[in-house]
Amino acid sequence: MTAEFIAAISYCAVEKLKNFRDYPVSSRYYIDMQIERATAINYLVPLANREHRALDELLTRLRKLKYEKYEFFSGEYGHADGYFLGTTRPLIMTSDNDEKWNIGRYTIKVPVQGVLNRSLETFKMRPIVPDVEILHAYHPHHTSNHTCWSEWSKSLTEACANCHFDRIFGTFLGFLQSYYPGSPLARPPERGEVRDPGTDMYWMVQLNQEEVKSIVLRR
Amino acid sequence: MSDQSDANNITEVPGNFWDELSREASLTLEEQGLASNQVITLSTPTGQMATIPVEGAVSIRNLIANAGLTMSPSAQFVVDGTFVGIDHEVAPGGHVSVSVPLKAG
Repeated sequence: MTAEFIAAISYCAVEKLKNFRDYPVSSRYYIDMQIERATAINYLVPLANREHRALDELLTRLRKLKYEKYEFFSGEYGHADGYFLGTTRPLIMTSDNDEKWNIGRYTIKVPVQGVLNRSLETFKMRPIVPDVEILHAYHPHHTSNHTCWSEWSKSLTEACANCHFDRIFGTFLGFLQSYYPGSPLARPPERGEVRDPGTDMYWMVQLNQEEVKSIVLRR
Repeated sequence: MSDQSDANNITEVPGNFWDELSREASLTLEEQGLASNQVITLSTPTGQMATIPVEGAVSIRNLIANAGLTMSPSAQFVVDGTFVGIDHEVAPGGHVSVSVPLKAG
């Protein structure tokens, strides 16, 4: 995690606080909404102030997630059009009938404007495999032209609303590690099925219980 | 690990427009008898966030019951990016994301 990554988090916190300033609390707000707003402001202010305690707490939460590294890349206009990039550790995807696949590592691209505007369509998840640019499906629920966010959209939208970067990156882990076989979007390989390199989800390997245990023990 | 040194290299930012927001927020929470280290937040599948006062670490099951919330039996819980069971204990200041899986998506 670089100083640039931390500075970009602080930038996002300031931008969110500007929203709170520009849309002041109304006495007509329900008390729950007032509390939610106050909790969000209390979370954001120390990040905007770049207080070490708040930053260390956030960095600790990020380190606990299944990511190898976090980076930030500035754009032409600095932080405003830059993006965060997280690289996951190898992940296991589990279906709701408990079948499991080794899906390897992914990069998660989170543009600053995507966070500030809660634009989920700007977020990209890409497997770390050769020829990624020619793939159509990167995951059973994420292709080059469509993403089935399911309930994850709510968690992600809420996390973006308050700049909770640990929740943002954590939600992607939940998304990538979940598979609902009823999805019409794309199908991962079945056990024993081998797909040609360069085809959709060819890198995914369905696991039996023994293989799952050995992978979990190795980590 | 360079995170600590990175954080230390960043200079303090002088007081700014958010100071007033911060005072307003602190007053709101104080009036409700809440402090950020005495609550657990819970984001619901409908996109709302519940702020629940607690006195110490509490299981998600008890957190839901104490807050008077109802939850689908198929609800999944994520804490710190990891799926956890309903009896997982969460410390004050923590956050629980609740997701209810759909059969297609």
